[in-house]
Amino acid sequence: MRDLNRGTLKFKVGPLVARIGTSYPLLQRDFLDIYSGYPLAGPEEFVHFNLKVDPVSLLRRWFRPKIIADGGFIASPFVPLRGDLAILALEMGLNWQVGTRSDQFLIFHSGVVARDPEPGEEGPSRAVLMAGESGAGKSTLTAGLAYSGWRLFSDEFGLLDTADLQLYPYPRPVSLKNESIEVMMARLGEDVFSRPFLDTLKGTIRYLKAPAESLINGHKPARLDLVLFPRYVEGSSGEINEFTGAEAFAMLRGASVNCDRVGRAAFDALSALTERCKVYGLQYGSMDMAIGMVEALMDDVS
Amino acid sequence: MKSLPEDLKTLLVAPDSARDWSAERWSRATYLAQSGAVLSRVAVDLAAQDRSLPPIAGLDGCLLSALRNGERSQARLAWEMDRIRRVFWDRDLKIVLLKGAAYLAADVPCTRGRLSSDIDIMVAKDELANVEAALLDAGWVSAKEMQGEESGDYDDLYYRRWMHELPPLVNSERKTVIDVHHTILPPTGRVTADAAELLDQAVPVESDAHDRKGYFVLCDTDMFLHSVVHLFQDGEIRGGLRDLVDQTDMIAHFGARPDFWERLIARAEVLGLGRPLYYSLRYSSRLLDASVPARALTAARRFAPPLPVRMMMDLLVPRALSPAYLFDSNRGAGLAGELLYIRSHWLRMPPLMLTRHLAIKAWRRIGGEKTA
Repeated sequence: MRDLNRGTLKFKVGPLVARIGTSYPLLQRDFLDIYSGYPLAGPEEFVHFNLKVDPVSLLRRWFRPKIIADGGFIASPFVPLRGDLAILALEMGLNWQVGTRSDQFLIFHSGVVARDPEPGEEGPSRAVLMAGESGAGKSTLTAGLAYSGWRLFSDEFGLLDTADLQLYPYPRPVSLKNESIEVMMARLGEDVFSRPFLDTLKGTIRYLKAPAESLINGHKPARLDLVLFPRYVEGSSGEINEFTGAEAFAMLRGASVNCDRVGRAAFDALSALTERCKVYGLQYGSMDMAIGMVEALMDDVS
Repeated sequence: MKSLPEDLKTLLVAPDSARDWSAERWSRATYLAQSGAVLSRVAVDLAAQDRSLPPIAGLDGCLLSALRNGERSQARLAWEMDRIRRVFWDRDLKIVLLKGAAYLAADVPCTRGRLSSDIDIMVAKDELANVEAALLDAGWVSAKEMQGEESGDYDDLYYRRWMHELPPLVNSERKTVIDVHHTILPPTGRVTADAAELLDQAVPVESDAHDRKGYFVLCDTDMFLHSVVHLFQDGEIRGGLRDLVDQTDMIAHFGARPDFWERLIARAEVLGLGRPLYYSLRYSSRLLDASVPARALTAARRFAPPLPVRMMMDLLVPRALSPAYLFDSNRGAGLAGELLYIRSHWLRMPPLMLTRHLAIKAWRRIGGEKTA
């Protein structure tokens, strides 16, 4: 708490280190609740991102509180949020910085989970990347898999190292919205959730905490084997269709956030991925069905 | 005089000596470089050296990201130059590239890792209407329109009547912005520059590359002076570290040419740009160790302001140019920035017009409108 106040709290999210400061007590509480399991970074670690989240003015600290994130940019892209939604300002502020300033990675807007080798087993961790437009159900499916024996990489960004084509974890709390909250709470119980944040632009939001296992192994990359474009369709009995060649390339290209900023290396990486990975559209009617399908497809790839 | 943050200066002038820094120092220094919009340049310089980076996890990634950003910015600029050239391919028109585009076309060293968001060109004043029409015809639209705002009549009029450029145009496909100038300083300002003189002395770009062929750039003294007036006469100085870095590079690059310094001083005199030149030579040599010969510094002294003004500028300029770390308190820079902002407007227009301009802007801000 004291570190947050002074802005000396540094924590690790996968390969990235963020330094956070806030003097707003409610945000401090929410932050410590959701981020309690995260590894802290020591003084010998390089800080990638700096973020302060504070009331816009002294008046707005007490009267109809308004909170804004500050990353020290000359033209700030951030907007003030209601005081009780301060954690959203922090989440969005951090995601924005990562999404716009991490061009050492080719970034996919996607959920990612990975399967680690069994103890004593050889071989790499293997990842599945789930892309597609917002609202298609990728966060929910990512959350479902993350609590069914898969390691959570991210529900927001897949970070691909263009040199070795490994995906790096970015294990953040999973932001669940509206109906998804009920579905996941029925499976996992209330303990792994943050308090609800009401009346946001996207309705009600609750953060699902990242599983401890995914934080402990938060530095270990994985090989990308499978790319899915999931879609939840009520009553669906499950359907897959494969994309190959140019179509698969275009789908992957569409899912990447910073393809044009990374340039040539991005093009090469996308070509190599198209060659190597299986790319499917996946329609599912229930969480258990989807998890079963993803497991089967992954077994099939190996 | 206050200097730049020491580690930031080291990254800019002697990046090799940063190698044994701790992770903490690197974190702060890269933050400052990013704030000052010079991190990509620093990344290029570090990558160009033989010795490898210190083994600090994450640092290499941060620098690679910055390196890619710089490359992409340069590539976009080159492509934009190519596209604009295409609009005017069959016209006998002297298009002078300014700022970032000019540095790229003329291979001035400050082009490395330089982030440009807009492209700036200059044409003769009586060509303005033609150039605007041709661009609008070829897929550019007014920037205001692009944002879906009702074109603010006041803004539009303000630009056309009082500024040295057209209201910005945006390419509707690529979202890139072009500023079309007819001179380098607003005609209302305390100091103006003779546009015909600048155009007359502009030199053709010597290259057969598609993106550069047929363009002109200002001659070396004028290119330097343009950067100087942009920072010290027309601009607000705050956030202008990158411009001072450009000038430091140009000093090293052009300074070796025969008679450059004599020509520069004489040219500043002719164009009436002595005062900003004085500031540039003073602060680039003091803050960034620019290699200005002693005789040039002495010669420029005739353009110096009265002592109280100089003392004030010595106090404000280094503060306004120094980025601060997010978690360090930094009150001085804010105040220095505000004062220099007021100064920039003071230099730009006569008092009565300034009052009217700021009143309109303030009125809008109260009304919750966005201001330009």
